[in-house]
Amino acid sequence: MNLLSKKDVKSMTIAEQFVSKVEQEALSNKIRVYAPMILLVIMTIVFSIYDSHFFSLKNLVNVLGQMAVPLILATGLTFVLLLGRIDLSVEGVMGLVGSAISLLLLNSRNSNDWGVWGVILPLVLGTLCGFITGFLHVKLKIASFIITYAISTIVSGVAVLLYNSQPATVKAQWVIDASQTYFLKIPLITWIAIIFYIICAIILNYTAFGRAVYAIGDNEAAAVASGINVQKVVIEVFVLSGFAASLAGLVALIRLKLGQVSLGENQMFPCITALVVGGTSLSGGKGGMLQTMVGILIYMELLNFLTIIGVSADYKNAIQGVIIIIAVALTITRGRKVIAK
Amino acid sequence: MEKELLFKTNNIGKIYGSNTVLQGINVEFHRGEIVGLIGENGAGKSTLMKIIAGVTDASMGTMEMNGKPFKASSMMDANKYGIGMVFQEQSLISNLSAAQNIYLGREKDFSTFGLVNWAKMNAAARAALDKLGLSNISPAQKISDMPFAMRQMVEITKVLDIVSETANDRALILLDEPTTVLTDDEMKILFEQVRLMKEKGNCIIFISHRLQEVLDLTDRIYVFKDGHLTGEVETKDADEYKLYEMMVGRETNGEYYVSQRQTVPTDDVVLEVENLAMFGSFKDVSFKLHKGEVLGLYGVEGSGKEDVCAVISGDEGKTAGTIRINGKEVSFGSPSDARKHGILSVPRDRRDEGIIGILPISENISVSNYGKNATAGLISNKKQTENANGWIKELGIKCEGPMQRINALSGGNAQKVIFARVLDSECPILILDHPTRGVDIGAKGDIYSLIRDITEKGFSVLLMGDTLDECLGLASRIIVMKDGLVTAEFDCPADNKPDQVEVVQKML
Amino acid sequence: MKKALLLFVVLAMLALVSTAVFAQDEVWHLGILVHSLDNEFWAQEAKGGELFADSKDDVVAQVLATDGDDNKEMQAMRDFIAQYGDHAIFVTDPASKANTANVVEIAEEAGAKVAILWHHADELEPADWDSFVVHMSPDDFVAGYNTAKHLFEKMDGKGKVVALYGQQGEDSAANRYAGFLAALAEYPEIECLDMQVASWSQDQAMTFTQTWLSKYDNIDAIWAANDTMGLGAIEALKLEGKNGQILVCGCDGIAAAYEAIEAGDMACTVANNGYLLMGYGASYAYQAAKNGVVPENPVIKTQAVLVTSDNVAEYKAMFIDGTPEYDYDDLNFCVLSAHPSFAELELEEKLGTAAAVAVTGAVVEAAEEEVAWNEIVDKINAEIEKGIENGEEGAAEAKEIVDFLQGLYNEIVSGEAK
Repeated sequence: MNLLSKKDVKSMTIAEQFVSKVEQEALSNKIRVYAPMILLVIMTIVFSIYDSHFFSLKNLVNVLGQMAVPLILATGLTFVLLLGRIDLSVEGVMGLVGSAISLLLLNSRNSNDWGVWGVILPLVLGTLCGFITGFLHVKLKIASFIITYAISTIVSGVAVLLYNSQPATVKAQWVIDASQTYFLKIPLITWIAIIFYIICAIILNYTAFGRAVYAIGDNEAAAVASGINVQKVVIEVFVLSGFAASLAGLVALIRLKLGQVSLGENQMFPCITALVVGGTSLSGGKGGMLQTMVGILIYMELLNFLTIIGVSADYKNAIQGVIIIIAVALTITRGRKVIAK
Repeated sequence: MEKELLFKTNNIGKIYGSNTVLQGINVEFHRGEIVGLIGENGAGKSTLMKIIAGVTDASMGTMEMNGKPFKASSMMDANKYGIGMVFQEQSLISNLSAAQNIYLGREKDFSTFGLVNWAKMNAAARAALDKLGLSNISPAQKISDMPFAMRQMVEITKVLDIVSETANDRALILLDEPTTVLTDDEMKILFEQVRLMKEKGNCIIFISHRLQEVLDLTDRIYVFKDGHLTGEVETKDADEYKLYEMMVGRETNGEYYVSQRQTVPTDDVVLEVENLAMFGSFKDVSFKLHKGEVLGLYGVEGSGKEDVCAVISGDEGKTAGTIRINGKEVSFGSPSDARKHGILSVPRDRRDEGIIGILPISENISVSNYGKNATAGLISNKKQTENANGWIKELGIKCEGPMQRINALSGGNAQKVIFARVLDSECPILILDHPTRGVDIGAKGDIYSLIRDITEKGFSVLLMGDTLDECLGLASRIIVMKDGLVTAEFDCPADNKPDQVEVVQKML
Repeated sequence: MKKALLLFVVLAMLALVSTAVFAQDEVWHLGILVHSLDNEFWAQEAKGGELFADSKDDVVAQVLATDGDDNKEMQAMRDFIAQYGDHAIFVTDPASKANTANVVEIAEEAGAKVAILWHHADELEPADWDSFVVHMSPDDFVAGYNTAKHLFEKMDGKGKVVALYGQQGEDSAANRYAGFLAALAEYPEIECLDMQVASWSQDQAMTFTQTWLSKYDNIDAIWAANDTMGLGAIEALKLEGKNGQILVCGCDGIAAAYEAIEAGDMACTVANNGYLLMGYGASYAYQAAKNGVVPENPVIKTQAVLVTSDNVAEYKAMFIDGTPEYDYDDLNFCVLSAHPSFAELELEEKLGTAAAVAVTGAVVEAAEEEVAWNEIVDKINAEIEKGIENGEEGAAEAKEIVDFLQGLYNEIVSGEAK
């Protein structure tokens, strides 16, 4: 863009200047969308050259396996973030659902063996948590971060009561088999995550609901004016996020077998980081499923790579922190006079 | 031929708090007609539009559409009656495509099993856009990738499509300054379309500051001033000059603005700007502000005057030019920087930017200059209260005492508290942004006296007045801006104020 | 009518119950301060405190969760004291090391007795305070050392190991890892390929292990600073069918770890025995408050047992399937050296069970009666030195055993295990 060269500025009329300003904004928007993808490609190439273990089939399969839980959570959170809301309850719901499933299937603590109902009922329970969260958020007009935090502590407490502080190990054979099943060298749990991701991508891109999510996140007043039932959409998004957290709880349980609250610990912030790195804005309206996938891949690759080259933990935390700040700084819309609160 | 009546209002009015912004409006709109609405900013035309479109409620009066009583609780509701409004500030979703925006909230028509058929929607959008001759807009293009003018056309397409769906050729469409960002070619297309809609029997209401456009397009023109409908004229009987006269209306006498106390500015230049520019907003702005002077800055909203003030008060950055204070070149990155150089701005939007509602009056007065009431960095509450008491007496602020929350005060008294803060800060250069907006008549007079007090004490004021009348009445000199450029400068001595029509001509 | 009757009965029962508790002149209110109950070990601790209270007629216990938050812990104490005054007693697994100073000050102000577990602020010694009765903890260094040593022995003293560290900034994590490093130093043929901070998390431990498995193909053992991380590592191994082949250890003694040991997936863990720790902590605080009994040595290392496939059944039965029964009046029981410990187990390997019991018994007796042990040992050592010089058979082994016994004796006398 040589529109900004000094000579041009002088001869431009104000209207022309305005047009070029809008063009520049559009360009920087484009950069914001494509930068993470370019980053992902460059990272992959550089990492592969740096350490041959990185691009080995085995390692990539590992990364894909580790991706399952973050991908599911991030998929659900994408909707929430697009609305400009946040859902802090996903960790608690994950823990609750994982614990409940572990206690209802064949396990080391009791004699339950509910079969398929042992999975379905907890999933319904977790989804219901999402509904309650959304309902309270919308009807009582409580800020999402507060109500979701409250719900998170409640469900964690309930989960601990369920297993009475002694988590159960799942013994059901199909769970054990599921954790060791592969299609095309990719673990079953990753396939679950990918299928969920694809369904959600379709919902976001091919339904009125998906469009409404963007509309509300970008300009809630305009969404209301267009006849969108904002309250209903917001509740539905939290229901979806609750289901995603429940599914993540199931997948985490399949992976780790031990049904406890800590299944969900430290899962949410990495996901939100990944989303922001991918280009989803915390203030709503910007982002999408492609960005979510890119963000998750960048995050997982980076973590994996740092472990492979043996970076010590102190540096690793610092590196992650720096990445978050850079990513947020890049995705945030500037020009506001007030510092974001 | 008598045209069929489509819509009429009976004594519509709107009151915000103690402030009447619209009163006794009786207008009629007919099928197959284009009606222009003109008036200064704040004259009430936008408020009327918002009432008709269902954005806000009327405080009094009734409306009729197609001969039946009409009352819309929301824009959606108004849409159902066949009334749609295109907003000045765009209400599109930037991350969605044109088609998705046009049919936002109406996706059902294109869905099977909940999945939207984008191809079908794009085809429909194509047709809707083609109807307006907008073949250059692709339905699948994202709004954020479009130039501003194109976005405006999408918005218009959206409203037309919604309204024509329900009210077949009996629609009432409100266009609020749609041409501000359009190029000439785009404007031609828009006008053609508007005429086409008119011929089909719809009624279009067109608000614009560009009088030539209004004259070109409309059949009839309503003129607004200070919340009243002051005139109605058939377009064929009007010309620009006549419209200027109608808009200006009667002049208030000098006493109202306490003109006898208008200071004669000294030769000391306290603030000088030279070739100041902000990319995309204004350029080549130069003027001098003298000690003890009220310099008026006037133009329609969007003329760049707001940004000039924002740059001088440190709120926005300049892209070119120089600012000198007492002959010394300065540059500042924030309002607090500007304050250190002696410039303080009194914002227009008191609720959002001016007052700190939960704090008492005393705190609100001293917030710009805490140091004055502090010893070794610690604020003395006693000093602060005494200080506030002094100002309350001096400015006649009606309140229970310095510890009352500022939220509890009326608009005029809250504004006085802000003036107290300004005076307390001892900044010699003040930027007053619409100081009387939302203030009742009595308090207005007090504020005018205050401005005279200030200048007599040697402060200099850069004023953006609420009306031209006010600006001319208060200022000793005014600078007129249009489309980001300074178009004229008038001297306004107390005994010889310039002709308002002349000023308006330079402004529009 | 029916409802009213029911309500009356319930109220009457409540009144009965409360008089039963409050009828006694002196009731001690035990505040059990733990992080939370969502961790099995913390729950075990809290249960230990409750077991103690159950064993006394004049103690009522209440679990106060602190969530590891300093302020919450202090607030909980203040609230409790406000209610029960100097009849409040506390046992705490403190929110943080630094906060123990506040804990003691609050207790001191109210004249309430407190027992602190695991860690305490530097220079905060029980001896200097009336209310700070006792500090008790299992030895994390020894735990880390012993689990590592068990792995290394099973590796025949050579091979590659990787380590999973706990939470950064926590004492237990640092001490356990220090124990691991100390053991590692004793085995020059064992190399530690990498250490990663998995923050006590099963998920992170699994992820790290997967990455290691794709990078290294020669790992022999994984040292994990707690059971949860060990179990995470095992899940990663299972995916490659390497569970049981690559050795894994844990620490803490949670149920799932015992199951893993039974299944042969985990080599060993340390039963830190939260029941004992908090139950006896409470007992010390109670005895000090009620009877003015103060331990002579108020810094106590409690016993912690290395659990392997040999003894897992026994400890699982005691800690998981049931709850251990202790005589809380026997305050010395919990002390590391006054009870058969892993030190004795090691002696068994050298001497055989019967001899080990006999020798340990003798040493314990000698220590308790404070006979001139050093003189005896000096004499024996002199004899052995002669024997070595003369090339007598078994002399070197004899020296090893005597050194070991000397160590055991020192442990008992000082109560210090390091």
